[in-house]
Amino acid sequence: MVVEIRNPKFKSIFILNHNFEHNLKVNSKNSKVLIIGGGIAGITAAVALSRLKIAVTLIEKATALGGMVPNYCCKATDACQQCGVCLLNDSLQALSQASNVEVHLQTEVTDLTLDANKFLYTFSRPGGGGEGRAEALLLATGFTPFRAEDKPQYRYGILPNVITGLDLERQLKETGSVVRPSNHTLPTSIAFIQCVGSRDPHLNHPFCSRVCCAYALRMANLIKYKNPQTEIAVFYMDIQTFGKDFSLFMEKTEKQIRFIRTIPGEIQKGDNDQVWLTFQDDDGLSSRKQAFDLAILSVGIMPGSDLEFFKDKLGLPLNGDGFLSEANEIFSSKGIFLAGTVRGPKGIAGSITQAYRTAEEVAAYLKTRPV
Amino acid sequence: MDPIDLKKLDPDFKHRLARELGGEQIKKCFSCGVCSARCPIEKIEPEYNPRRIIRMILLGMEEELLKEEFLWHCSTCYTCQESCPQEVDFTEVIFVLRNMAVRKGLAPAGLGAARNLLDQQGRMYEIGDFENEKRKEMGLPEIKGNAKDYRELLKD
Ligand SMILES: Cc1cc2nc3c(=O)[nH]c(=O)nc-3n(C[C@H](O)[C@H](O)[C@H](O)COP(=O)(O)OP(=O)(O)OC[C@H]3O[C@@H](n4cnc5c(N)ncnc54)[C@H](O)[C@@H]3O)c2cc1C
Ligand code: SF4
Ligand code: SF4
Ligand code: SF4
Ligand code: SF4
Repeated sequence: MVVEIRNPKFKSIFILNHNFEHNLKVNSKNSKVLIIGGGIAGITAAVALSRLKIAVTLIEKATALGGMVPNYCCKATDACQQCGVCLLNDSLQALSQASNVEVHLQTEVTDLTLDANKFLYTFSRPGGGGEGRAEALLLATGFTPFRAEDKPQYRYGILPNVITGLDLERQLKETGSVVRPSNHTLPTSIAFIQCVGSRDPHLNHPFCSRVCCAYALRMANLIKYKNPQTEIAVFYMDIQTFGKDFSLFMEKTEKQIRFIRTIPGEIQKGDNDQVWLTFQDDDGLSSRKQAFDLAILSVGIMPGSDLEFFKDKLGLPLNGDGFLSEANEIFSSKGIFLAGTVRGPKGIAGSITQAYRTAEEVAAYLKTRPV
Repeated sequence: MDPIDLKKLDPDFKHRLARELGGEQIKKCFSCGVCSARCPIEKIEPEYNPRRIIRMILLGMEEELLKEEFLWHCSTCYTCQESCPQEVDFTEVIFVLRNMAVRKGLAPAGLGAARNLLDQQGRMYEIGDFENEKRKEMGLPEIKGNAKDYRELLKD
């Protein structure tokens, strides 16, 4: 049976996933574009294509749309901090009103071939599967956050009061405040460590993730706003600028937060579940240890887990960093397009802009496509 | 730390060092200090600090640096090199600095004695009858001092 979602109310997208028919066959007469990945990039591209009157099938393997963004908190203090997180709501709203978009949750593409300018694919879902066709493919499969365990000197997963930026996003989103996992009390001192897993040639991640300075500083500001007595230190190499108000933002932030331009060597266990950071002192002449109640590892954006699959099926070229940065240029003439972090590190606003641009490229391709 | 004597600085020092095997990446250092924070020697020897050594190189403090005894305190454990986000091969840099110091005759005196032993014996520790008897008990062949191969190696 064909499942089409036309003008559903926002929520029905989520409800539908529980009522999905098994063995559904994707509507092939209607859908022109297959979008894989329902994060902010995939959703935006679907909305943009639908506005261009192009029918879309959007396949998402998770149980809900949104990708990573639903994990993140609003970072507003007394004013909006322009973190971009709530843009997802706007996109979901627009999607719920879009026509010609089929959304399939908990669905994964199991095979994919490009044959005479048509994409043939099979997919599976709990309790069933099916097949479909499309004239163009848009990959928006996103990224994976860096696994902090792969930087063992920081003892993530071993010391309870070492958490990642993603853990902090979730905590702030769910509870509105930050506590020490060891005893659920408010931390009086917090250390942020930047570039954990990024800019690290030994992990083969020499690139900057572009979002972690912004999210870390905005969350640091938010914590300071809520609990002005919390002491916050940020260990960094250099700060990646974000947005046009960056210098204003920094001017304010520098008064509240201690910036230490060095990267700590390791984190050790201290008394009372404190964490000890070893780092070069500001004088640059010696290392010292300082105890903090909580350490936050600013993990970055790593290549998505399914890229090997698409590389194998379609011959897409992974770049040296493991992303598909060049694939859009090389393969758009074959009907393969990409948007969002699948192409490389970027934030929500950047993913949205790129998705719009890519949707226009798809539309242009469909007009001139050889049949 | 003493004030830096500008007259003594040699701006070409870093370029010369970068031309030596292992020194190539030195100019990429952006002073993040993770090398120093992880260095085990830095923890017990207050004089020794990788980041500071790199600063001295980049500033051109050749004269001061090459005569420092702390250059010989590095344990060559490679921890710094493994941690550097800029791929500066700091352990190799230490070797380069040591080579430069030797060429200028600035190596510590004890090191010259060790070198002579190597030259004469082919090893750092003399093998005598005692060692060979022990070896025999364990069914191992006798070792004779053979400095020839090592002398070849030590030829400049
Ligand atoms: C800790 C952290 C905090 C951040 N905070 C901010 C912030 O405050 N502001 C900001 O602008 N940016 C932030 N970012 C960056 C932000 O997460 C990304 O810009 C954004 O999520 C990119 O969207 P995307 O659609 O490209 O990818 P994703 O969000 O990763 O979405 C990809 C989607 O594709 C799906 N998918 C993957 N493979 C398949 C497959 N084979 N089949 C079907 N579906 C698949 C996934 O399940 C997922 O739903 C943060 C990043 C991190 C790591
Ligand atoms: S942009 Fe970010 S800070 Fe501003 S309201 Fe939206 S979620 Fe909150
Ligand atoms: S955005 Fe900031 S923390 Fe993230 S990798 Fe770049 S410099 Fe490091
Ligand atoms: S770790 Fe590398 S970049 Fe950082 S100070 Fe040491 S040599 Fe320089
Ligand atoms: S190699 Fe030398 S400088 Fe580097 S960490 Fe080990 S002892 Fe320190």
